[in-house]
Amino acid sequence: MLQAADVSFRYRPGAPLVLEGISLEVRPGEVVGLLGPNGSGKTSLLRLLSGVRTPTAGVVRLDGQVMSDLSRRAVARKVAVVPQGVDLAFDYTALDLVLMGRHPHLGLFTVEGPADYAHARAALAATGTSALEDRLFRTLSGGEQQRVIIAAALAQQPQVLLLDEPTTALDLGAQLHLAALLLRLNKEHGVTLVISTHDLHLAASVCHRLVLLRQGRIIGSGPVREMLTPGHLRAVFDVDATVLPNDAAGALTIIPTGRHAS
Amino acid sequence: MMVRQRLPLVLAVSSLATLATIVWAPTVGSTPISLARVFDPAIDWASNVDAQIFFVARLPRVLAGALVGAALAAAGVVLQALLRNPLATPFTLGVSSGAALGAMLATAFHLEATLLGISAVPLASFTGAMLATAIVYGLAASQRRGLSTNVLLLAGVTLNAFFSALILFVQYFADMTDALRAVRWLMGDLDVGTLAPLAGALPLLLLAAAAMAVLPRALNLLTMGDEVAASRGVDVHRAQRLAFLSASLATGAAVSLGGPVGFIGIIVPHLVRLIVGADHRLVLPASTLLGAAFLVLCDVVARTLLAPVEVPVGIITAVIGGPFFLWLLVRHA
Repeated sequence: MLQAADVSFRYRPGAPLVLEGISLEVRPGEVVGLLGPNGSGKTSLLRLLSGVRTPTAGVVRLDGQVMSDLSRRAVARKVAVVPQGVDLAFDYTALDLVLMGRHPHLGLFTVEGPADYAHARAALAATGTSALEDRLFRTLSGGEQQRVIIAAALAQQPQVLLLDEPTTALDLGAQLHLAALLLRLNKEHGVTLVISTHDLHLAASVCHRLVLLRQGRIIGSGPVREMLTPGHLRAVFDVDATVLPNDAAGALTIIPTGRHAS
Repeated sequence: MMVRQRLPLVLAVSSLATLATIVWAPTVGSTPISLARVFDPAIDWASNVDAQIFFVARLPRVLAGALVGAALAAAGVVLQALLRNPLATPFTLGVSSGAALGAMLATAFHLEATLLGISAVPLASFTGAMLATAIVYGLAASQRRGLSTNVLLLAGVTLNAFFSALILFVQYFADMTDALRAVRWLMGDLDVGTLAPLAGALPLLLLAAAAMAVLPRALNLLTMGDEVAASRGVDVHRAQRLAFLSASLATGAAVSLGGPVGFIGIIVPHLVRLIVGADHRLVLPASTLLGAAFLVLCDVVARTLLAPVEVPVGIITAVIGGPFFLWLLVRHA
């Protein structure tokens, strides 16, 4: 579905490479986590996978077609992005914002019709934000804003949802709520997910497969249980950790025990 | 209510308000005239003094106010969305100071050139506006990807300061009468005399309007930031270029017609947003129409406040606009 082949990327000519020799493939129905510390290139990789940036070398393909050959509209009908946060310059309601997700499906002068409202309201319902529809986005809590942004992305009817550090600004309750929402989207709505994160619990509880990133390179890739090992965590984060199976949470529990002295 | 239902309602109400203002405004003046007589087909043109006053003496000025007001309000909406800053105005990006410099030079050097019945000062000010646009655009677009809104803003503000210095320089060496005429131009003046200047500006304004007509939904998305807009399917670079160039063209044409009438581009869009919300598909057409009505009303006040003395309309809009701007600042803070 989404494929990166030997991709390297720098933001400006002469600037250092932020990604180097990245190859990965996201298959339909998968939940792939991009795990790495701050500055490892996770967000840049998502920008390439969503096509808002073009690789310096190598190629990104969407359903076999070269991403940079596709129009923004064509890409947006298949791939939606949930950014880390949205800073709105004007006061839109939650529903306004979610309706904007219909953009790639509308003609130049078409105004949303009942079918578009139905898609938007379904997206609000899927993210548990129906009650917030008439509230101004600015007045919502961080967790509510996050879910409304996810709803806006869902209104695009994407096959793939790319999420950039979705739990960073959320409190514990909102994090669990989000993890449950992502699992539901994947299982019930069949949405493929690519999640960049440094949140080990999110990675353990939601992802099928992890791609470990460090300094712009992939240093490991595979099923979650094979990737979340003390050895890999040390290699990615420079941290010593104990990994325990946790039957109550249905996933692994990772306990950092100290910073690894290298 | 869906946007699909609100749009015709908003358009109908704003069109009616604007049309009513444009028909009513020419009846106000030193010689009272009756609308019934103006439009009475039984009286022939030569003997219908009311109609002559309405159409020949007063309507060109009212229409000039309508065009200038519409263009500046629309440019304000577009630039506020492009710069993601509700406090941006059509004059933020240097266009009006380019126009002012052009007008200043034409006045100081007594340029006599005319083109299609349009005299030197509007020609020179439009040239100055387009020159400023080209400089700002050239600087902001030289970045590798699309337009940098930061560079737009910085280049615009810097160009404003630089052109203002040149204007003062020219003014310092110009003779007193010319300097006074130039200062008078800066206050805004809708007294165009005939319909010829309107006919000159109209094609430019229609071109700008056509370009703006495709923008509203992209403007909504641009207010969320370039990358979010791109990921929602907006061709961000194209939308930014179109927004900047159409707003600059509208501003340049408006300023060459009526001088740099301030605050229209910020008051009207904000009042409209308070009424219809932030959706640019409603805000842009409503601001364009009500911008016309607003400036025509301000010009009626300018003509009648101290009659028979006419106050420059730019002073009226600034007196209303200054406090309004401060109120906005406090409200946003």
